[in-house]
Amino acid sequence: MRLEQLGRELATMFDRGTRPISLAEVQGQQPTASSRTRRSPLLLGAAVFVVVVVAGVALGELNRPDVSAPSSTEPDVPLGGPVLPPAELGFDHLWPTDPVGLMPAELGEVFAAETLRWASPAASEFAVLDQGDVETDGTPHAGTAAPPLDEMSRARVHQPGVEELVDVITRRTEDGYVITDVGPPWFVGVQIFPSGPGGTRIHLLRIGDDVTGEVTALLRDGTYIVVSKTISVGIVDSTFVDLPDVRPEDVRSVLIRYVDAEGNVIAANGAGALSVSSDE
Amino acid sequence: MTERQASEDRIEPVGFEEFFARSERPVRFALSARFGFEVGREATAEAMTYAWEHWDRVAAMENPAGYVYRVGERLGRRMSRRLRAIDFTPPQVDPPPFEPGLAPALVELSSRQRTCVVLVHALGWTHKETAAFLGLSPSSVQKHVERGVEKLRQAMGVDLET
Repeated sequence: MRLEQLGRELATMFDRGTRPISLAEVQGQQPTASSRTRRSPLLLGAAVFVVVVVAGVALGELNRPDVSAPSSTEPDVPLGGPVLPPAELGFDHLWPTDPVGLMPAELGEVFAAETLRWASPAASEFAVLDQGDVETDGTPHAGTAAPPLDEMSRARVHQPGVEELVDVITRRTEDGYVITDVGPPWFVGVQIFPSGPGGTRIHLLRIGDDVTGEVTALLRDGTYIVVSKTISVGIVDSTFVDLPDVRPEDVRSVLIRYVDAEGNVIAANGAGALSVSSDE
Repeated sequence: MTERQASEDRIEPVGFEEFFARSERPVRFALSARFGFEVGREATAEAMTYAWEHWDRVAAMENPAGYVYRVGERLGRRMSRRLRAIDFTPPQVDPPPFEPGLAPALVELSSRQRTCVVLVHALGWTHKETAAFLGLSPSSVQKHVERGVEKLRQAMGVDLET
């Protein structure tokens, strides 16, 4: 087949696959709903001292995510808008919004397919965890006395052609399993800190150069914030995003998806139902 | 008027009807490549409606078609949030109107590769024109097209001669 023939086949395919839109169809329609990303109205000025919020599960070595203070001499890296289809997050867990009756490994696969757009993810459950394992133990191991509800499990999701694995921590609820935390095996969860008066800093993992991290944050009032930032490993400023108008205690769930130059999601981390301790 | 002429002429101020006649097909092709036929068409209709309602502002832009594409891209992301797969189902006619292996092969490409391949090979746009439309660099478009064509070649098991 010649390239010219491929072009003709493509033109035929797209002409036959989609009916042309008429001018009357456009001019007769109702106004389009706003597509702007919803922004939190949270601009309350009360000074709040928030004890460091570290939500998520740091498993294994933590040398890859950068948690050092930013250098003021390094250039600002501008924030961008959404780069991926929106992800709906849970309020009391990370994903899905409501349990869907899947076992942990199946849930991991569906999560990867729907939110990471992985074409053929494969997952296996490899550990049942006690709560203590999740918070304190860098190497999860099998347990035998987990309660029927709130049982924590861990599954590992792999997409052929994608180097990073994604581990999902699941919790059993009355209605089925939900995902509480996700991330590569070396860092599951998300790091959030207070930033300035009433602001929040969310750290990105150092997945690689020229990788865009898209942060989706579900706030307490039900609104979403979506920002993206291109990571340059040598620039500290590029490995976190600041949400100046959002208090850490108002962030419920965060999912960070890492996108390569071709638009493929190559890694993700995040956590839901973020816990906060604060002194007001 | 060809799509190539349309893209070259886009800086000239035109009425909405002329803009629509020039740009509907490339925007629909690009958004369909990005999201599949159903969402692509719906996103195009919504984006064109938005352009019609805000034509004074859109017409003053340097690249109205590119802007409308980006509006459609945002809308398409919303529309496709529950879809598990990109749908390029061909019309149910016999014989099929185009190479049957093309649809599953296209799904193997990244969305950016698909969009660039369709604009360059189906519409005959140059890398520069495609880059201006999508807001990319020409070299990036060239890379997406080369990789996309290579993936198509592998998926369809054919040689694609120049």
